[in-house]
Amino acid sequence: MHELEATADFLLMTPQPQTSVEPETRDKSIEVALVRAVLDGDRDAFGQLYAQFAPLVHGILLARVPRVEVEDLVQDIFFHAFNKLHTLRDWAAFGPWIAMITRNRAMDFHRRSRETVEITDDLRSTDNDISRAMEILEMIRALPDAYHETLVLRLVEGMTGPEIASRTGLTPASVRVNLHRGMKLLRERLAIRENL
Amino acid sequence: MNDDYLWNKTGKPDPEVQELEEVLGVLRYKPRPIVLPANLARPRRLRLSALLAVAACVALAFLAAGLWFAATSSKSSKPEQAKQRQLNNPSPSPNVDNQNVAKDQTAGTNQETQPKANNKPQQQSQPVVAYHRHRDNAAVIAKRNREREEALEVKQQLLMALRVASEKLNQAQRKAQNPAPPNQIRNQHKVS
Repeated sequence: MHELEATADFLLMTPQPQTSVEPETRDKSIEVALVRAVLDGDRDAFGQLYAQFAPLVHGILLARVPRVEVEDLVQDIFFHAFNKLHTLRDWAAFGPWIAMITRNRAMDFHRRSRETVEITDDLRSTDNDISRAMEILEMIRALPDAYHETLVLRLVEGMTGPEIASRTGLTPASVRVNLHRGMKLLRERLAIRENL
Repeated sequence: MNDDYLWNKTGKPDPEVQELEEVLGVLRYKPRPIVLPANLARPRRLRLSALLAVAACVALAFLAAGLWFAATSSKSSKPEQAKQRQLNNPSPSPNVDNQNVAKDQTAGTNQETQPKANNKPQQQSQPVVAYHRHRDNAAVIAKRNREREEALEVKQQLLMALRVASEKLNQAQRKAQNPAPPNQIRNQHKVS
């Protein structure tokens, strides 16, 4: 009898084997569920996808196109994604897919209207905080391609390295390298500017 | 320099990174609800029916090709087979003639004693063999013609089936790729 009680106590004290679900895997399963729901006609699910991935699209655009154009482009890209969602084969890869659409759209934007952009950017940035932010953003944009997107997602959108990796489809190692090298270059350029 | 803070915002904060975060934070995305236009057709999954149509077409094409190949090969091989048969089993007339010749040679000694007895069956066998040969040839030709007609009919039916299947496939593809928006107004004219 005592032995049985002791065993029961021991079982109660023993921590339950926790099914450790990686946050990345959980995100992916949510992504898959949302994409499936959208394909089944649930428009609200697309709203959730939008809420989850809009910062990513915003950050990628901000690293490439003028700020004033970003908001409209974000919406356009999500409309396009909604229309083409049936072509997405791997539902867990919604993030990398929309990131690629965004990069292509940014390239198209530069191909079509380069001149209009720079002028409007300068005219609109009147506020002090924003003008300072825009200065730094310009410095980030001037960095090599591999670094500016990762830095904008980290410093502007506030995403962590693992989040950037999981949403863009890049490996965590390459995101880490890009962050550190990009940050190093940015520090150097900021120091040069302050010395002037 | 604290790498962990830059990587996943843990550990001791890097003041320079924090300052950059603060300054650049004004450019951060401000949540804004997305409003999907009502006339935006919902994205559709690739339908099972379309996939089945594709699979059926492929299967039908293979079947048609197989039948066509079988029909053409049998058509081309039949004369060859007939030739081969003729080579293997020479026509009965020479055999009969040879037998008759042999019989004549063996019976040459008895020709005087029974001169007309051996000639009678020889005269009778020639028209019979010719009749049989003629009848066989006619039957073979008729059979071949019948088979050719049947093959042509089958071919035409298959071509028709393929045409119908490809048309259906095209329709399915068109539907799958360009779903018509529900509220689209067709033949809209400009009103001045």
